[in-house]
Amino acid sequence: MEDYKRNSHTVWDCEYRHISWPSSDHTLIPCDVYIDRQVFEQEQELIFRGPTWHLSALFAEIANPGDFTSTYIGTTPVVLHHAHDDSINAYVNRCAHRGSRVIGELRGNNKFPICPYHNWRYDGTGKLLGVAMEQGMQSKGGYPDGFSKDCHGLKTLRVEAVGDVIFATFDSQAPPLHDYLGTVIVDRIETICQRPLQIVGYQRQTVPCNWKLFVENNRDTYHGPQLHTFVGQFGIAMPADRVSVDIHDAHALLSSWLPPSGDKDDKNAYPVQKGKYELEDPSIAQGFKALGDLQLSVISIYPGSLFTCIRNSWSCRRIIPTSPGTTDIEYTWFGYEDESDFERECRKKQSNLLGPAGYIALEDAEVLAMTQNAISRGDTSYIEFGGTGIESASDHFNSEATVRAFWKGYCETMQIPLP
Amino acid sequence: MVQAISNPMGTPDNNALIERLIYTLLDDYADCLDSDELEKWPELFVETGKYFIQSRENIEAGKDGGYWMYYTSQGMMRDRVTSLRHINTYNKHYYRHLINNIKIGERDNDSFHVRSNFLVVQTDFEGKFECLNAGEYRDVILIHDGKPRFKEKLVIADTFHAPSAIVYPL
Ligand code: FES
Ligand SMILES: [Fe+2]
Repeated sequence: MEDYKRNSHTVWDCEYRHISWPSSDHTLIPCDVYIDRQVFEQEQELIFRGPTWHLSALFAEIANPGDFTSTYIGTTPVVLHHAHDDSINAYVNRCAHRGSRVIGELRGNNKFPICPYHNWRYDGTGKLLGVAMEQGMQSKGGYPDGFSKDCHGLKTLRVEAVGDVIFATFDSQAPPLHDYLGTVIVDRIETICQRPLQIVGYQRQTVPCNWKLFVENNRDTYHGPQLHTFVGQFGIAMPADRVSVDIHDAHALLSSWLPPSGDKDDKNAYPVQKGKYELEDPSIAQGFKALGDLQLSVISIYPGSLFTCIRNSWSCRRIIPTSPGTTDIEYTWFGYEDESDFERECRKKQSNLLGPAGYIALEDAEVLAMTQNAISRGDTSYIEFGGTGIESASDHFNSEATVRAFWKGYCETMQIPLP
Repeated sequence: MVQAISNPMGTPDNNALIERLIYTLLDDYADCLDSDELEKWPELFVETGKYFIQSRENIEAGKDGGYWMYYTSQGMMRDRVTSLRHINTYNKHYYRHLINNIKIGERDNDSFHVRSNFLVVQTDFEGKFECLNAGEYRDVILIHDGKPRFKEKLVIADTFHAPSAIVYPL
């Protein structure tokens, strides 16, 4: 799959700092930022290893001492490890000696990171416990007298949590997680985490587009009814009593509530309207009210963390840039530990909406691939739906304010001078 | 090994015939997906047939969720076809299935447990090629009145990191 637009190695003839950003209100975006290799590398340093927080694991994934799970923050491989002292740690999956990966599995338990290359041994907090042949052999070789294992641990990250959701940052100067996310998003995550979560499965996918196209897409309320007509045409669109958009810094929370039915336990909580086509098996639309009338929570956390709780299809995603033109998506699907068989079955059927083959998500992946493919240097993207403002809305989805909010945060973290 | 047992369900007793019927069903499955005859795909299943695509990652982690496709009836499969034909937006693409190492296992009255390997390669609308997925089919195949149909088809995706969107069934 070699494609010059997807893997641009062309060195820009000027630093990204000299891009003339076309507008100060974030209604025009220079598309070079989607294809340029230098911009990509700067993003790694200033955004992904900068003062930002990244959803790294759900607590249920590493609930027991010894449990670990591997992921990436940007292009850096990171391990989340529940150490034997019960602390939750994040460290870079790179040996402090000469850089081999210390953990070679996606997840597991009770494993002390041991580097396969020269057998340096660490614990789950990233501390170096032992090195091979520290004293050399027969008093020859080995490490010099001043060698201290304390100075050669794995590179660790700062870890904080909201509810059962564990975030990590490379930057000791990053604001506390609660301040970073803001109260509205913290409240929503805590609402979702009101009962113990259970991991129901994982999914992984490459989307052939720049990570920023993916982030714009998942918070974009404009494209939903236009691109995703599955629920409408099958007559299973969710009637909304109320919708809202909450913007806090560069983060966005999209919400929608069902009209109150009065019956909290109504199993057929999602009323069906007539569409152009009829489902032969309408059980895909069958659901339950896990959070009262709240039926949609999309939480797009800058830069690359995402919750999509659509009806009973609940997952969080890590958006992982791998090159200017490719992005990996890691899904973790979850529900509540104490759910009934009926509720579990609803979640499984509704998971048909998202994921690599999902009725909705497959369309996003296809459109984003087409978008990436069409970009040439000098192009601009036009983002003026709903005006030029970046404000929350308590009663409509008819604005690209959330996308402008992303770009405002982007320009700040990338230190891009505005006109 | 298939055991030839006579039974009242109209299932043939002849091993060679059973094998041929099972192979034909797998061929028909590949054919309808590879030659853009999606409408034939649900018809290869019994009405209560199940079609699941699950990643090898989830199987190894013991997870009963996170399916790429989770269809519990022929109706749900027909709905997928309706959606792909009339509703979903996606780029034109072509599949080729290579299925081999077919092993006919346990027999359960008129049903046979069959596993096989698959490789699906995809050619996109501009003629570019990618290996979309490799994995294993675990099928329960019912032979009734000389006609083989899937009672259940579990597609285990070894390639659990999907290289792009999965539009057609695998
Ligand atoms: S690189 Fe890890 S021990 Fe040498
Ligand atoms: Fe979408």
